[in-house]
Amino acid sequence: MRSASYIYLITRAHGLSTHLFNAEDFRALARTRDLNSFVESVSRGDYAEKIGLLSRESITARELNKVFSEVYVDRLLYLLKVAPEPVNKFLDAYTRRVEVDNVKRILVAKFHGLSLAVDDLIPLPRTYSVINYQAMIEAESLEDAVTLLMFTKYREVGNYISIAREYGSTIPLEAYLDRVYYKNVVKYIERLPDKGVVRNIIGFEIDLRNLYFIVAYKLLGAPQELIEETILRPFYRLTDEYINNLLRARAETLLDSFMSTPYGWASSYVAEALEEGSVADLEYGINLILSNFLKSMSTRNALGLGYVIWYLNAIYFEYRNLTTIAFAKELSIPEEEIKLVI
Amino acid sequence: MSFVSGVSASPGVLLALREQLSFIVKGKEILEMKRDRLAGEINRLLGEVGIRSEMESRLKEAYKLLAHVLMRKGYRDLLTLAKSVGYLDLDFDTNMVMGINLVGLKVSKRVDYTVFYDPLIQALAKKLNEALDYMIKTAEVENNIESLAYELMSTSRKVNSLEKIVIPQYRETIRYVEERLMEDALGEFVRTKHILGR
Repeated sequence: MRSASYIYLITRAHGLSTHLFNAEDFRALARTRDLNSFVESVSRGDYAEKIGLLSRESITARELNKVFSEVYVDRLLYLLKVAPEPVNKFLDAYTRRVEVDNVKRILVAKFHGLSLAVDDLIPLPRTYSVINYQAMIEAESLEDAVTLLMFTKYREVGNYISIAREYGSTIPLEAYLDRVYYKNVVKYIERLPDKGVVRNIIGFEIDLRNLYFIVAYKLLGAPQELIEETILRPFYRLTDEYINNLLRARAETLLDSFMSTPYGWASSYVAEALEEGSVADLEYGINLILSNFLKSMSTRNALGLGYVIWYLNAIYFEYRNLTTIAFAKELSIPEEEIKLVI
Repeated sequence: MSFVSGVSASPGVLLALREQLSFIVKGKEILEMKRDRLAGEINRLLGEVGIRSEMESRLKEAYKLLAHVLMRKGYRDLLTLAKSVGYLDLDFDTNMVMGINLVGLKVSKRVDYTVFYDPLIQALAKKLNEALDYMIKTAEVENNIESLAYELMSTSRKVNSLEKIVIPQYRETIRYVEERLMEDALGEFVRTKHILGR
């Protein structure tokens, strides 16, 4: 028997999903003449109030990005508020990807000695994220910034500083944060009412992300140990054997190795990207696979958490697509090229 | 000709003129050799000019990906990431061909594009880096061709002016001085005969 608050959460997700832009809306936004026309078209629903506060004459894509990220965070956190135990624990862990993104940005800036402002981060309320971003940004060194993560679940990131310095890259730090994130998400699945569906979705997401990183890094000719450093665990259907096959594969046998994995059915997207040698096509293809999978899961599990997770991804894709179109309009990139990305 | 008209006809002048002509002819031959060497070098480099179209196609590809990544990440984020790769260092070496300094550009410190976690950013950095290699090679080839072509033009002009103006003028002057000396010798001979006949 499902609790009333659980049913309410799913009903809210259904209700809130009607606020989202659909594919035709995005095509129409991509067709807009310039940034101002885009602003006119996007100023509705959840965005109207925040965009209304901006000065129309000097509006920039960066300001719009800030608005889109605020709406994205509001939407994420709203579901957390209405979610009952133990779903809220899982959703809290799931939505931490925004926090991880912010921490990554600060660590990258600190590692390379670059300047960063709090405005450059996705705005998160202190009630949600206990990390003091301002203090991290103002820290004198990477080590000092990492010390401020002492009381968070990312406390061990400091252990990866020496290896990061050895590589001259933040890859070990960022990969560690991703591993902590997914470990934490997986930890809460077992207590969920729809754990089978959720495990499928999260496992699929981890597998796809591993496939993308391995194939993309292979395309770029990255060293083996660096690729291994980025692999996430726990694996789902992509077991150690498949991962090792992919890692050992040469450029000409990479597609064969991919086809032998449980995701062989998605090889057409990968084949095209490999043929072109294009990581951009690969990323687009992988995102498309994930998006289609989540859509099908939301249909099959319309009255369960499958729908909620689809909604959480849909708001992320909306945030990303709107940001993409805003930057594209500011840069006067033609409609045809925008459509290839959204 | 003004050159001819200002010359005094004497055996000493004739000797000097002949020496000067021989020197100029040798100079012209050297200049011709230089011209041929420069033309040969330009011909060799012309074979490498095709690199420009390769550079343009690589730049086009890189810009296409740049537009894609800019749309995704925004200008500010990309700028921050771009700053993290450091600078490219170039070494210049010069190779002297017929007095012309031909520049050789060699990358001494490459940009490390493998520092990025996001493969998309890595791919963009790689594409831009490859395009940059072609840009450096194109700059080297085109700059050297320009220097050589300029020198070839100047050398050809010198050879032409020696061949068509200076040497014919000298020959004309020498002929004039020889005729004048011959006339003077004939006049002297007639005068001597006339005095002896009296």
